[in-house]
Order: sequence, then structure tokens, then C-alpha cells
Amino acid sequence: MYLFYRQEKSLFLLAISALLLTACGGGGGGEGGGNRPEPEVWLISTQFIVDGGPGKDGIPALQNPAFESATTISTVDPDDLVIALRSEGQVKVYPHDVMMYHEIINDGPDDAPFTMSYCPLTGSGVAWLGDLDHADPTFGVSGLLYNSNLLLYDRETGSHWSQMLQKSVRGPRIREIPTSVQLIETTFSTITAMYPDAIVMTRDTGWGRSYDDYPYGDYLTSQDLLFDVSQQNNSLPRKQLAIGIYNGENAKVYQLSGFGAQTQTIHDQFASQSIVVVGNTALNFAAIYDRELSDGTILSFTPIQGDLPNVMTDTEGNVWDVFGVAVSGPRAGTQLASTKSYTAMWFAWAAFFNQTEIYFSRS
Amino acid sequence: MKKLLITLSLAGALTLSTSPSIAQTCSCASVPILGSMQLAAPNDGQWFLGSTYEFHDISELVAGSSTIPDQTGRDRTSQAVIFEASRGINEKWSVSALLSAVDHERQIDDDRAQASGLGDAVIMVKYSPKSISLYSKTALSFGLGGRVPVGEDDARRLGVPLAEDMQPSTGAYGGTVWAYWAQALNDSKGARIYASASHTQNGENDRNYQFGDETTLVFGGAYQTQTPWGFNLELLYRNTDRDRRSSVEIPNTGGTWLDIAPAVQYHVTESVALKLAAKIPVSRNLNDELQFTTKYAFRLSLSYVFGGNSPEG
Repeated sequence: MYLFYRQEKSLFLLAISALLLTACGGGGGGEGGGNRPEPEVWLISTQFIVDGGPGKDGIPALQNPAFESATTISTVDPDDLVIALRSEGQVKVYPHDVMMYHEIINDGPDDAPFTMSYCPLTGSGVAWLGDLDHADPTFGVSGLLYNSNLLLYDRETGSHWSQMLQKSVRGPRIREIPTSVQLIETTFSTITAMYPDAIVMTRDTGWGRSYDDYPYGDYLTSQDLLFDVSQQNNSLPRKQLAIGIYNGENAKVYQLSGFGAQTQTIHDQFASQSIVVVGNTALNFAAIYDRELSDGTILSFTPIQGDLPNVMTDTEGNVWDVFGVAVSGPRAGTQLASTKSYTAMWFAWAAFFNQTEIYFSRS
Repeated sequence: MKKLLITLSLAGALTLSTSPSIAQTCSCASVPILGSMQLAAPNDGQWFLGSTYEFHDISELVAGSSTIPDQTGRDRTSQAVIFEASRGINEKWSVSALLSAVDHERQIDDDRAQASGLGDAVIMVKYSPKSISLYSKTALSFGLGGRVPVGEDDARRLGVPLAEDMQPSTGAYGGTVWAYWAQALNDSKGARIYASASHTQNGENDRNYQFGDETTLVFGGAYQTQTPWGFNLELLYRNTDRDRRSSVEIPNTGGTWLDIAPAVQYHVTESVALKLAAKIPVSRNLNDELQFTTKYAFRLSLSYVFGGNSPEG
């Protein structure tokens, strides 16, 4: 009986050992699963970097998506929010509802590729040019967030890039700053009123996503954040959208709700820059440009009503469109210098920049 | 007669695999890696030792209740080894202790994240006013348990903590109440039906993350043949609340699952038994949101009963 007992006990222990080896073989720790250790130098505080859950490329970036004429596309409603840019003279429109599920679009011709990114949690849309010095200039979704905002990674070196800082914050390309592309964020009805010949990214992405469904519950209407951020400021409602300009630790924001029903231009000074902010609350667009031209001239602008896409004129008689291009006048063809600006939710501006000023109209 | 008693004891113990689930849900899915423990209720003076290996494939992308193609090349698995020791204090009271070792892996194309280590520990006290015996065809048990986060909950990659569903331990205390009922269907007690219900409340961990509270219901049937082979079939219902971070509900978590779990067991000796069980989804409703969830799971259990009324003692 005792021998039988010992045999059973040995059998039991042997089996347990086998189970342990099966389950935990090669295990231990976290840290990238047996690959060589990756450098952990970040320009940003790791305290506010989080793994969002889906993992690297768990949210699939799109590559050269399909487009359809704005006049024929049926999946975009007039009030839907979109992001637009001009590439080789063609205005391309990217609906928010598709961007929600992909966050990054690698697009553009081979000789001028660009990466459009949209973070659903901070409401920020940014685009920058691909660096042709790199064989693969495309980006993917890292699965990490910093201050609740998208961290991209570049597919050639694996470096991480902060969307709202527009800078590489980890990896071989650390501290690199990409060349940004001017975007206009507005409604589909406004962009098609401005550019009826625009083309619109379709839902034929090859990915079976329910683009009609907003994937983050009541996030847009709630004041709650899903992830901790480094600092908070309750001067505005957290999710209120504002266009802003930044430089280093400083930022200045202009509430999209503050422009009124008529197009308005605001001459302002930010750091050492003379800027013009042009916007229209009813039409739901805003943009910030440098008023100083390359020859040192500082222009003064007045808004134009009812002549979209032209939104302002200047004292020299030039007419400027929403992308900051002079479409007529002595400087026709001139492009106003872009600024480090984009639209994002207020909490994100406050979290990213230590000194964030809010513009309030003197009137 | 002695053999019949042993058989009854083992069958009772192994049938109790339908015991409380201590959920470790996923921020993007909702996966109970410790969802099926063998918290048996041993007889007076009897010991139950168990070891279970669990494997979960969590690669299925579900929008609400519809499976949709993921196409990201994702391979997300969780494995766990669960050790359990239970001891019958007297005819009605018993205590169980459990320790888990967990391995999570997430591979998307050639990018692999992995974390392994000790998971959570569970201690449960059970009261069994009725047990199936020569004189009774009904079993009834109630349990009260607590989860202790003894394991690794700060696995990192690139210096950044992995998502909560990738941590071996929940990092939080929790409590479970559990009830179990079984009814033998024949005089030999070889056939029985059973049901169990449990509710688990989860606390908040150091990162202010709280896995959703969970309720489970199980209905099953077991049949022990006159040979060493026995069979189980269970229907498992599970509902979890959304996870919370800093008290804020997280979208894409929580939901309701209905699974079917067939199992087969084999008595290697009179005291040692092996059990193989699978879990196959029947339906789920993941709060009408997009979540990765379990495609299938299986577990292999080894149990050893001695002491008390068993002859080996």
C-alpha cells in the first residue's frame, strides 16, 4: 500500500512538473519576448505612456487607400467630420469615421509620400511628409499612448513618434522632427462646398470594420478620460475642440466655437511669430498661418464671406484660400508658411504643454 | 463498497470543476484566464491536490455579437498552470488554496510581447450541508473566497507597463461568493446533473485599474462509467461589467458569453485522475463593441485525492 502511495505521488509530481514546463517554458518577465533588449530612452515621461491594449499594429494603419469623388460618395453625411489636405493639387478628404479604426493612413505618390494620423482620444489630426532618405517612409500604430495620444512608429527603424509633439521620442530617429503638412479639419459639407472636385477616402479598406459605429462609447460627450495625463486644466471643458499653435513648452489655443457665424481673422502674436488665425464656427473650420512672408513682409488680413474656399484677403489685394495659398493678386501662387498647429481636444493641449494660453476675443 | 466510495469521492471532486471563476479580464477582450478552477470540497480529513494547465486562444475579433475578420495576423494566447490544495476540515467544512502561474503572449506579424510569472492566489472556505453519499443523492455547497495578488503585475516592455490583460496577476484583491448544487440521477450516483453560480467583486490595483465584476452560471451533467472513463458537459454563462480605470468605465471591455464545455476524465489509479476539457463559444454579446475575445480554450487537469476516508490515507 505504501509503495502504491509513493508511486501515485511520484506520478502526480512528475505530471505537475511537465505541466509547469509546458506552460512557462521560455518565460519570465515581459520585455519583448526574447528579442534583444531594446533601448528604453524616451524623451517623454514613461509614467504617462500606456499600452492601450490592442498591441503594435493591432489597430491596422491603411496603405494607399481607395478614393471616390466627393460628388458620388454615399457613405459620408454632410455633418460628418473630415480631415482634408492638398496633395499634388488634388484635395483629398479623410472621414473621421474611417480614421477612428485605423488612426494612420500612409498615402501619397512615391516621390511625395505622407502620413496622415488621427487620434480618436485626443481628437487630433496631423500629417507629415515621409522622409525619402529612408527606404520605408511609412508609419504604423505602436499600440502605445502618451498623455492619451497616439504614438506612431516608423516601419524602417521602429522609432516611436509622438503625434501631438510631432517628434520622434524614442529609438534610432529620436529627436527627429518631420515636415508637417497643412490640414483642414471641418465637416464634409464645408469641404465639398470649398472643393467640389475633392476625392474622399472610401470604406473599401479591405478591413471588416463597422465604420458606422463609434468605437469609444460615450467618450466624446463624457468629461472622463480613459488614461491618466500628466497635467490637467479645467479652464475649458475637457473634450472641447480647439485649434492651437505650439512652440516648445508653450501653446496657445483658439476655441472653434469662438469664431462666430461669419468667417473671422485674428491677428495675434505667438512667441516671436506674427500669426493669423482664420475660422468660422458655423462652417466648422479654422487654420493658423504665419503672417510673415519669406521676404520679410508681414501681411494684414481681413476675412472674406461667401466665397469658399477663399477665406481672406490682405492689404496688397491678394486673395487667400483656406490652405493658405494666394489664388489671385500680386502674390498669386504664394503659400503662407504653415505653423506648428492642429486641432485637438482642450485636455490634450493642457496635458502636453506646460504653458497653454487660451485666446479670448477682446470683444 | 470501498471502491464505490472512492469513485463517488473522486466524481464529486472532479465534477466540482464548475466552481467559481476568478476573472482576469482583458482591457480589449474579457478573458477569464483563471476561469475554471477545481475547487473541490473534500470529505472530512481528505486532501485534494490538483494541477490544471489552461490554454486560451484570444484571437477572435468580435463586434458586438458578430465575428469579423481581423486580418492583422494576431496570435494572442494565454496559458496558466493552477495549483490547488484542498482539505476537508470536517464533514461540512473545507478550505481550498490556489496558486497560479500565467504566461501571456501577443504576437502581431513579427512583433511579439510576452509576460509570465506568478498570477493570483485564491483562498476559499466552503460549507457543504449536503454531500452525495450512500444515503443522499443531493449535494449542496456554498463558498466564500478571497483573491490575493501575490504575483507579477508590472511586466514591462520598452520600460512601459504592458496592458492589464497581459499582466500575469491582476494586482488587485477580490472576493467571490459561490454556490453549488448537484443531484445524482441513479442509485450508483454515476450520473448527475449540477449547477453552480458565482459572483466576483474585483478591487482596484496600483495603476487604478479595476477588472469588471463577474457573474457566472453553470449547468452541467456528469456521467462516470463503470470503467475509468467519465464524461461531463457544461453550459457556461458569464457576464462581466466593464473594466474601470480611475473609476471610469472603459469601452471595449465586458460583456456576456455563453460557452459549451465538454470534458472527459480518466482515472489513472483509484486516486489519480486526468481530465481534459474544452471551451467552445456558443454566443457572446460584447456590449455592442469591438473586442478581441476567446476563440477556444482547453484545460488539462490532474488531481490526486488522499487521506480521510480514502484507503491511501
